[in-house]
Amino acid sequence: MLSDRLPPRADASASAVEEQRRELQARIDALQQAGLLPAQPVGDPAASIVQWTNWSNG
Amino acid sequence: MPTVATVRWTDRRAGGRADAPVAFDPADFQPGLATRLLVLQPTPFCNIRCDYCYLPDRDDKSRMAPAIARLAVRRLAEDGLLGDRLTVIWHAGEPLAMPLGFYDEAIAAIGEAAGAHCAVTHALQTNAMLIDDDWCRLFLRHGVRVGVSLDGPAFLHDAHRLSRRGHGTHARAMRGVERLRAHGIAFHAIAVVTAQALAHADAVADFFEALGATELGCNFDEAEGSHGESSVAGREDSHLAFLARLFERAVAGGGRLQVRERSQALRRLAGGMPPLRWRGIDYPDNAQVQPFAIVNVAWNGDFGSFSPELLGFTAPGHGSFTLGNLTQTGYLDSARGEPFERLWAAIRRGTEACRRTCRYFDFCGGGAPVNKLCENGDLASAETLYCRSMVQRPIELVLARAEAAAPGRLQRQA
Repeated sequence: MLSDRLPPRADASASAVEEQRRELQARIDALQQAGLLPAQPVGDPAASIVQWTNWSNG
Repeated sequence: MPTVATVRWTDRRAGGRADAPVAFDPADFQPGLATRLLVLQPTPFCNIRCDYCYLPDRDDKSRMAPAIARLAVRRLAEDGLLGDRLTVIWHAGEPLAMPLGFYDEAIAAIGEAAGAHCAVTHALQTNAMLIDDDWCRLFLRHGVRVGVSLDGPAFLHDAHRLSRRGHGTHARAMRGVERLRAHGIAFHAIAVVTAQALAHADAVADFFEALGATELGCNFDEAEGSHGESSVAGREDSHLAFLARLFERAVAGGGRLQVRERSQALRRLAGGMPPLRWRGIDYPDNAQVQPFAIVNVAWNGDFGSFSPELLGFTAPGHGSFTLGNLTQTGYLDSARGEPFERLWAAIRRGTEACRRTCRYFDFCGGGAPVNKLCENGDLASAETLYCRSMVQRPIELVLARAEAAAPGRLQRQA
């Protein structure tokens, strides 16, 4: 379930958060090593204007 | 190499107190601080009344003078905040409610103030209803990048994006889009994703694929300002399913539908955040938590920084988030005072809270201060619905799809 992977609440202990970070990074590393996720950013983020208008309704 | 998440930058401040006021000095940042986004609000007035709008002064027909636009950039140059490129977004209320000639004057004035060493890109976010051939010629004349606000097909759009008489605005917005197409002007789209849209991901995807927008940004219905409640709150599983389907459609469409949330998640995962240091220690490269990375200027020269929506807001303990007025003071001068230090200290505390508690911190860098304020009542807080909707779910969806794509390859790697 994707919802099982939703993040810790603010009362999560520091060690629990560190563990979750390690798990997340391990997933990313595995996917990148397997060629399933880009390891380098694609394109120029500054070229996308829509990146800047993610802040509000309307 | 230490990541942002492993370095506690506040620990080295004032005996570890994250809330200690620290005088702001742009020279403390490496690379040097430069404004990346200048949001100019030429008028508070909007010709329509979307029911989820956060702006409090939509009836106010005040207009910016071109001299204010010039001053907004001249002050950046004077303060050393002008880098080699700057994006100017004309936004909030409806920028096309201004006379067309204003933009010819203002864009010329901005170009003069920026000088030859700074490449200025102009962009504009519009409800598209006022676009005609004259506006199209202006967009082409100045290379203005156009974003249109459309929530999808008419039955979704017209549920919220209403005229001042309470009628739907979809048909008129589409007439504006037709003019853009007729002039060969590329445009992106922003949709506000409300509760009604959550069960209609395919209808939204169909609409935007056919529309031919270069990219679609899905802003979820946020609780901000005069719009106190998000219709997505309490429906986060449905929002997850909506995004999942939209991402599937983006992949299946072979580039016909570019979804910003997916592109951003891929970018965050691929590169993390570029290195930025403050007083010798890592600091998150999130423009919303960096002083003056984003500068917001109202029609009359009032300005603010950090989250664009903060300009014009007030909150207990902070008062107004307006830092000053360009006709009286520069950006850096406004930062030499207790109100700014208190604001930035609260934003740093909030960023530190994210660092302590959120597994996604290395890919986000502290979220959006205005959402912390509006959702949690505290700039110094951490997770928000905005975080879950705009950062966490997109990242998890991208990862889950990649993992599902070739589980055998992943197992062999393990």
